[in-house]
Amino acid sequence: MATTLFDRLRPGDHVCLIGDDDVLQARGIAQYIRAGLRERQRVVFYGDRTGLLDQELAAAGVDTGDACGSGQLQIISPGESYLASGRFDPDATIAAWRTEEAITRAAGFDGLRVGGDMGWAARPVPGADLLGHYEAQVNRVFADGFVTAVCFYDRRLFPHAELRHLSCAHPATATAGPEPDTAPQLRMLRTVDPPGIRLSGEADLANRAALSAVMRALADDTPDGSGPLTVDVHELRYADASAARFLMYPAVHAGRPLRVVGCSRALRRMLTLQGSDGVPGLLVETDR
Amino acid sequence: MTVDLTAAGSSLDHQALFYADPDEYLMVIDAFVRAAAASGSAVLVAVPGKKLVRLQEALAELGDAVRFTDLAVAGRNPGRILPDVLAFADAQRGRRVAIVGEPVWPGRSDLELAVCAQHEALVNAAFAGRDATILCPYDAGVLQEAQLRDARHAHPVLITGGVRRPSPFYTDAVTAAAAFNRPLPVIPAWAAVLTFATVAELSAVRGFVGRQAAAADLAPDAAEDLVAAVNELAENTILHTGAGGTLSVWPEDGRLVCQVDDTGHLTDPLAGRIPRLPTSEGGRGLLLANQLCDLVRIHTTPAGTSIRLHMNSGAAVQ
Repeated sequence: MATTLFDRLRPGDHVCLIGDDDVLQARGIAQYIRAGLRERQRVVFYGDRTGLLDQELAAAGVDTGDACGSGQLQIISPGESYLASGRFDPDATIAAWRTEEAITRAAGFDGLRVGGDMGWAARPVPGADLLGHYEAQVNRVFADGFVTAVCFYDRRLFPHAELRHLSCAHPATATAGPEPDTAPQLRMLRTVDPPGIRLSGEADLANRAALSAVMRALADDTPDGSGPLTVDVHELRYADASAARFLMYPAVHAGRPLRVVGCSRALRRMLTLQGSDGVPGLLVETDR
Repeated sequence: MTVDLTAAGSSLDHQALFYADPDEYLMVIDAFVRAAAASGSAVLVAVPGKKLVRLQEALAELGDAVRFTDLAVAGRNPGRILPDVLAFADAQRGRRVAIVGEPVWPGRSDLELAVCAQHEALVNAAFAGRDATILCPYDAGVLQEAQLRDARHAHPVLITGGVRRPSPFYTDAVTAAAAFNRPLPVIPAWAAVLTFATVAELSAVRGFVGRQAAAADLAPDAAEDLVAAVNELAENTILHTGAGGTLSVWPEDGRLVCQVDDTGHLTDPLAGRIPRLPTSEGGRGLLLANQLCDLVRIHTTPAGTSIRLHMNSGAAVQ
């Protein structure tokens, strides 16, 4: 089988995968699970274990008995997991992700790969209206660079405008198909040395809410007190005006000294036009 | 000949000066600036090139009391003047401002002149309620009648031959601005066209503009600026209309032109001309286009909006 988007995903990726076909969705989930098992990641899929999914897993050559028995794979229905309390609680769910990440690290896996069939959110579940907020905020967990996440959305279940809103909360969105082959549009990985974040790809309206949430919380999410933060944009090929403003958030909103390193001429110009010269504690370094 | 240029009371006084020759120009503006500085106003003189030099020499003794800007550079795109002038006024924190602004000069293209006329009309709305005196010199001996007619419609007060009187053609700020919301010239048949409707297509929109810019031999910096400006307009289309938009790109003499057409309606005539704080969200697409491009023309109706961007391809075009 040819490589797909799922084989190219890296820890830290968070993809909104939009489809409108039950078979293709089940096949995509099976490929995603298979790729994670091959990479020695722990794989958790939140969704109903349908006959169709079992069929596609078997076709993809996944021995579910083996993988589930060893604990490397879990398939959990939404009712048993994030909806167990009867309502969707974004903060509790994000806290649970942090716990799962720690457990998975402790168990010696190379990463945690999670997938979710988001169809439950189209049903009248209390708290489902907070999903957009959740999808943006959960990027703060994924920016640790240990978890890979794909959210499977069925466009037949969500109004167009809502789906657009939800997709902008993901750093990357792809359309399901026989070979979803686009590379993730934006990657955001927090760094320890120096403390900060490394951005790569393209930042625009397609991932605006995701970048905004991560940058707004960067100071809080960086353990080391009040020292300077570094935003590495060497591999950020494009940033729109809003993204340029988000890059300055730690200095503008949290008052943290901030270095933006590896700025292209175009990004530097965009930062200047968004007022970077007047932001105290902000240093913009151009070296490409 | 002396002219009393000071209107009674506070608030906006926006006047067009139709001058006959360089001597009258120098005499009237010299007196205006000296009176304003003496009364404690913050003064900005924004006129083009050689005229700026003459005024700087004449007013040298006033020193820092007067700010000078070469409008041939800062106002090459007339859509950029208003944000700059408003930023100057904002920085004075309530102090009265006096501004000499000369956006219209011989040699401006018809397209630039249309944006100049719109700029002059928008000054009334942008400065409404502000404590400001704005004097706009027009070279009556050289400029075309059409340009003087536009000035009469855009300014509440006219000064001709030393006489100050209300303009009989000016009604109010809203009417004045609406009068300059004019249809754009047609898109040529040879334009390259791309339609877009979703955020997933933004990357393709940028790639399309980048390739057209390279084919038109735009300098790399100008190409990047044009890509950024078009991207912001396309994002606005996607955000504010349900129907997507059409991007057309074509070369004209000495420039590359991009036009975005969509089904939206810009109800605020000042869109793109108001400076923003770094901490405020949204509302920057058109402002950025004005900052990045050499000319931005807008025509908006309830049926749809067309925004045309010009990026000059050579340093020769000014």
